[in-house]
Amino acid sequence: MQGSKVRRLTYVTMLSALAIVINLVESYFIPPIQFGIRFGLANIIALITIEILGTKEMIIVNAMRVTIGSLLRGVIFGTTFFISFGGVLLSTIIIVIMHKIKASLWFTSMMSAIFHSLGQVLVVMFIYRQEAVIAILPLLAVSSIATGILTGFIANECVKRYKR
Amino acid sequence: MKKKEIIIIAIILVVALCGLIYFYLDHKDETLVEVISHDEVTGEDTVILQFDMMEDAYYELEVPNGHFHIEVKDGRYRAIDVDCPNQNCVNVGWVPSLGVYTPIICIPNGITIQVK
Repeated sequence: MQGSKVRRLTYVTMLSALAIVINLVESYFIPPIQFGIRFGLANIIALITIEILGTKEMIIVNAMRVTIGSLLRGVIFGTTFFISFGGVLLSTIIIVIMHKIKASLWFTSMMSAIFHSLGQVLVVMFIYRQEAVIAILPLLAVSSIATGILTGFIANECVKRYKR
Repeated sequence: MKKKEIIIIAIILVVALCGLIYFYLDHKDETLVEVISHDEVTGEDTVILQFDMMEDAYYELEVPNGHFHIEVKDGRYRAIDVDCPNQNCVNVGWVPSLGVYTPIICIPNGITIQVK
């Protein structure tokens, strides 16, 4: 995206705010379906950010989402924080790699959803020393593909309308 | 979407489905269930309760946030009426369901319920 420094800063701020609000609304008003499967709607913002702004801004938005999101929920530096941090860390890395190799937004969305749940499961395994948690991974991977299609679709439509 | 991407997604889907089938078929003969308490300060895990899931029962535990209830019925168990902010452990529902022995983990209270 072209534009002055202020314009970019404003965009990053607005997108961070959107991501945080979506994250909070989702965690309070949309209950997890089963086995902790969630939609991961905040990922839409990360996808839009990397498409219209760039890699650096996406990392900032995701970091903001985790820290301020958990600060507002009152779980910062607790176990819940580290679990969501692990998930977001892996999914951010995957989005950056996918952006580098110019994969489509759908594929990026699906992969980041899969790696988000992988990161969370790894952190849970590490904190609770529970190898049995890995049994949930196949289920999460299948549902991640479904929710990844949903978030990928929304992000794709948003980017299309932005670029027009 | 490119063709390569569809192939990668298909591979992941197949692997995940194989995993699901594997864990679905992996029935355990063990019926003893352990309730483990994780101390956030010392990092120690202690077994605070052991029960047989073939015997119907209702257990009440004292946890950092208040009370934690476990209902055992017809060879299944679930967390119910738990004092915790996110209620994730209650949302897991009955275990085993569909043959999957999901460990019930309540992070705010540091409680893990799993088959021994």
